[in-house]
Amino acid sequence: MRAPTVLFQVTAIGKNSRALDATARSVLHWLRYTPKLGFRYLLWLVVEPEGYWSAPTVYESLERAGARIVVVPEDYQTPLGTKGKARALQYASDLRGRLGLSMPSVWVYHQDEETCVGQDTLTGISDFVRDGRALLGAGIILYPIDWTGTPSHIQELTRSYDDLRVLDSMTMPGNPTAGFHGSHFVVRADVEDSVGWDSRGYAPSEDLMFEIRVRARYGSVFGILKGFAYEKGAFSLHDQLRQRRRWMHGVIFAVLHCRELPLRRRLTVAYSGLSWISALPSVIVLIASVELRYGPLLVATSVFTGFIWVSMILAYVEGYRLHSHYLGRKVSAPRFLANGLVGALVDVVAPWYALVTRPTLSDYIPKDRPSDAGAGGIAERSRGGSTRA
Amino acid sequence: MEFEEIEDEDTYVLRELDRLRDELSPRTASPTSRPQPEVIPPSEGERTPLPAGAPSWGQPSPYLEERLIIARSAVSELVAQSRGVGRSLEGLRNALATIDQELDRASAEIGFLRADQWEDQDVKDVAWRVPSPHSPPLGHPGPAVVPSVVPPSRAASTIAGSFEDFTLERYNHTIGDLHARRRALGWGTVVAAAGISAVLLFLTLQAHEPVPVIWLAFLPLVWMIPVPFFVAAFRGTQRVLRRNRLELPE
Repeated sequence: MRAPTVLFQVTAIGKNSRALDATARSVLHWLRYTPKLGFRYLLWLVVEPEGYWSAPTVYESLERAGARIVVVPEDYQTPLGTKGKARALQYASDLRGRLGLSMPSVWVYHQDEETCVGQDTLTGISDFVRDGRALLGAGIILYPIDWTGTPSHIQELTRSYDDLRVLDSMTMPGNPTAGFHGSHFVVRADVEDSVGWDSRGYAPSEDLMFEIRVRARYGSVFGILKGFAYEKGAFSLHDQLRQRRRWMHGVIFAVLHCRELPLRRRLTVAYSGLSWISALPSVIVLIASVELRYGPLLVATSVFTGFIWVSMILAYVEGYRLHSHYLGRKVSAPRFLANGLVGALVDVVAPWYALVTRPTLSDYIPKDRPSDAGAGGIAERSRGGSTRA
Repeated sequence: MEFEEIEDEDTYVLRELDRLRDELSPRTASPTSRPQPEVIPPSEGERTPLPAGAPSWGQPSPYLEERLIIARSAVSELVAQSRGVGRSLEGLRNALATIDQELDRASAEIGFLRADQWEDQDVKDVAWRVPSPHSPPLGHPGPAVVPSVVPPSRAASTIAGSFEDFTLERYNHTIGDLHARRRALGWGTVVAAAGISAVLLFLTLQAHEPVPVIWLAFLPLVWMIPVPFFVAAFRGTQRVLRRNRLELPE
């Protein structure tokens, strides 16, 4: 039996240096304070040159603390010429190959800039890699960091409850509701490196492409990773909108350009995108019914209306309950309701926004809290951001 | 402050004191340098009277006050430095205690790894990959209370959610609660959904609205698109909670 090594890999542009610092230090902290972890570890921060040079002292400090800083060379190109985060991920994969780390005893735990870990995360990873039956595992992500109760933060709570759906779908053959994460997943290095991240051009949702390829090559090898990861939601509605736009473009890209996607799976991925797109027309139909008075036609829909409404409300309530032990700030029920409605409306509009606009490579979602960023002196404070984001 | 610097400081003070003594020597002559005049011991609070027939010494040096000030400040500096040395020694003692505790934990960890029967060859294989000397050690048995090598990161006044709060106990508590209410969530959803739907259906039928033009029928169809997704999500959530105990061993 081989002693597993877990490579904690944070892959990001690197401009959210404080968030990244907190992420790396959360790993180092809990490696130290979690008893009996059954693995050895490595910590890699894979960043772009502009990210590194935005706060060199932060990176130097992390290097001294035990992290390996991997700066993706500007002239690095993948065979298919992928761009963005997939390019950085492919670079890290190539590097593992050169260092002899692409082996079954090495596991890669993927983090975004703002994916902090807890004691539970590490215990969950240890549990997963020592079990070793599944080749890839993902878990539930909470969003308690810097949570202030803004509309985008409240909307993020629903994602944690939705993760239960994601975990179920992911572990089912065919992934019927297209569930996966771009962070908080652990994968065997040889599996990741054999599949790679390379694709033609810019893949907005490299994580979805990766999941599709692993499934196509290895079958249903997905498992549940116990333990939460702890992230932060977008700080503004505009950031939330841009983040969702990227996801929708990822779905469209996968449906149109992913050759490994079997027809059946292509249909389910397309349907998940369509159901999201239909949210805005659904709201319009609901409002229009007041004026158009097509009541009798609503006989059929009214049977399901209760279920849809309850499911949506449940996502907020249960999302909040999952976070309740972690949120330092409570919000009043009316504010929660009002902000939840605004956040939901942004999610309803987002896929349509995605249909009329395009994400760019320079799109990056700020994850360093705005008030801190304004204060300057990033490096010295050295505290702790996503592209899944 | 280095020890040599303290020594220099000391020498400097002594030199200043010698100068003072030289300045004052005619008035406060030491017993070895001149015969002691007969002096009546003063009562408490009384000043020492000058011996009778004391010579006139003239004006004191114009530098006397300045030298006294320099000597006083040097003495205070010396006192401060001594305290600094004391603190450094305390820091050293703490560091030694930390090293001692870490060695104990390393021994315990070796015991744990050996008990798991990892192959020696594998250990050799990955030996070069174990953390650099700067890295904190691998997991150890029992929560530690020693000062951390890694600076504690109550992340620069984060509003909420410092990673130090993300404990196993809290996770198990949260996930245990979720498991405990799985049935209530399932049945609650079904009952509430049925209730709302019944009310809506009742209102729709009671409205007695005329049947609209048929082309409007596509609108409710649009509305129905996400229904299968929601049904699958509900079923999946219930299934994943039923099949998996997500708690972790503490």
